[in-house]
Amino acid sequence: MTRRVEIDRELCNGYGNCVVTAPDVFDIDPDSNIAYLVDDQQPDEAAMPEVREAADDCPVRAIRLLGSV
Amino acid sequence: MGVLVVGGSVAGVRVATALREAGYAGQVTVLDREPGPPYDKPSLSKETLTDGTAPPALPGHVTLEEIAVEHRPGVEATSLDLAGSTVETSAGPVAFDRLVVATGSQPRGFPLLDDLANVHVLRTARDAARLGNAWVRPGSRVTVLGGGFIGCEVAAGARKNGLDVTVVEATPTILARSLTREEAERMTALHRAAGVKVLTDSPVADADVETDPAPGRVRALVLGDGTRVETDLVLVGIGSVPVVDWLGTSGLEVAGGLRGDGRLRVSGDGRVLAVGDVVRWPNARYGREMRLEHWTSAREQAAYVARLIVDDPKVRDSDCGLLPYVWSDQHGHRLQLVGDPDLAGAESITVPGVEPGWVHLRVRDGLVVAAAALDAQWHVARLRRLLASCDARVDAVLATLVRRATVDP
Ligand SMILES: Cc1cc2nc3c(=O)[nH]c(=O)nc-3n(C[C@H](O)[C@H](O)[C@H](O)COP(=O)(O)OP(=O)(O)OC[C@H]3O[C@@H](n4cnc5c(N)ncnc54)[C@H](O)[C@@H]3O)c2cc1C
Ligand code: SF4
Repeated sequence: MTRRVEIDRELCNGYGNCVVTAPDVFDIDPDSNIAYLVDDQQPDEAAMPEVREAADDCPVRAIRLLGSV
Repeated sequence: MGVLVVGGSVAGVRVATALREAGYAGQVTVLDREPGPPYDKPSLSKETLTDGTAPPALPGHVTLEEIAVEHRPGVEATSLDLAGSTVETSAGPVAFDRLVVATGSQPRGFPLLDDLANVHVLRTARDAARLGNAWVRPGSRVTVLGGGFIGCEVAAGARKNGLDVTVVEATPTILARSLTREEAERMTALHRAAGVKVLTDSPVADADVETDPAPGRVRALVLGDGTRVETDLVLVGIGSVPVVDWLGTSGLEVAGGLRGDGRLRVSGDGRVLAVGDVVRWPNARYGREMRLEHWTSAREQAAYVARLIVDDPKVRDSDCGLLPYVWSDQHGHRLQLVGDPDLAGAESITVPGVEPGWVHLRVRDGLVVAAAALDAQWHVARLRRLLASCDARVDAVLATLVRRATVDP
């Protein structure tokens, strides 16, 4: 299975911890105040340690790591 | 031997995961006096209370077992023998090479109401279950004693579940420790609009308690001016105190929180460290002692201490400096605070274009030192990065935060 990072938009409350931990990967949409992947891009391998940290830094666990991450 | 962590909530568990991430291969043991697997607390006054959803499991994308961390639930630390490098516990002595204290805090009691059947506090999953079970009766009159974060969240949750709610606050405003008077009044207005009764300047003078049958029930709180607040259930939310009783004979300094140095070391030789709600330390960002009771700082302190233990050169020569950050959810609105919690002497500047939410910058000597915001998560994410960097001059901050109006044809 290929690796994939997803944000559960229902769960995300826009606390912004992911943006602080991995600013190149996550940002918050100014209109909805919900997180999204920057440029709609799946993070590359080098960013994965940060992404894993960001997933744990999310207080509501809205970031899902699928596949072999 | 190896690293012993006492306290297995967000701070303690994060120490364990961060040790493994930093390459620590020795024994790591996490003790907690609570039964069951580790879980996270913020939802207890939010979704768990209103919808009954289970609190998220800790640590997150891995389990402690998967990273070879020994978790021992139901084991309480009872004393620390520093010279002998041993923690005495309810399950016998445990020796350590390094000890991390992560015993957190617990609700401050209100002596007039101690141990009554319909009086609650909210700190643990067990507290949340007890409170949730007690308030499901429709039309219950819930009284929240104390208008802090937890009290305000519980009040909002009780309204969401259709209960009759009164917040009783001794000082002139709710959320007085964190918000300016004007901000607090806006929050009060939100509560009132949702149907919460908010009584400020209302110290409780007495309680009308029915003592039979034991353990007794409170029927009404009696305020300073004689007003009776009739109630079916009271939630006491008047702040929390660090859990340091078990360290009483250790010789460590525990008044107002277990005292750490700039690197969160609590013993002179650095073998004992502390993280999370329990620790009071000089925050290197401000050169001032603080005890933060926030989820994010607990995790940041834990990650710092893990690096210190493996002697990571990135932290070896730098003290632990943190940008305080806390959020609170009330009536579907998101309140966020970032930066120096000391409000004294700061001028407030409103960021334009945020309506219906708001962002207030707290400014000293032309520098943004903190901010409070409601329903402005995009702004706060940027503010956290700006305040973490050095360039927090008001004009630079405003330039980033004020979104240019989109040019529509
Ligand atoms: C209801 C609620 C809602 C919250 N909401 C938010 C929020 O929205 N945003 C935010 O930033 N923060 C929030 N917080 C605060 C945040 O949860 C705390 O800052 C955080 O839990 C602190 O983590 P900690 O690990 O230091 O301490 P704690 O979470 O207090 O954990 C300490 C652990 O140590 C154990 N322990 C204590 N003494 C012993 C002993 N002698 N032996 C063994 N084990 C022991 C305890 O059982 C406990 O598991 C909330 C807190 C509560 C209670
Ligand atoms: S940390 Fe979680 S809740 Fe916060 S913005 Fe990121 S995904 Fe959303």
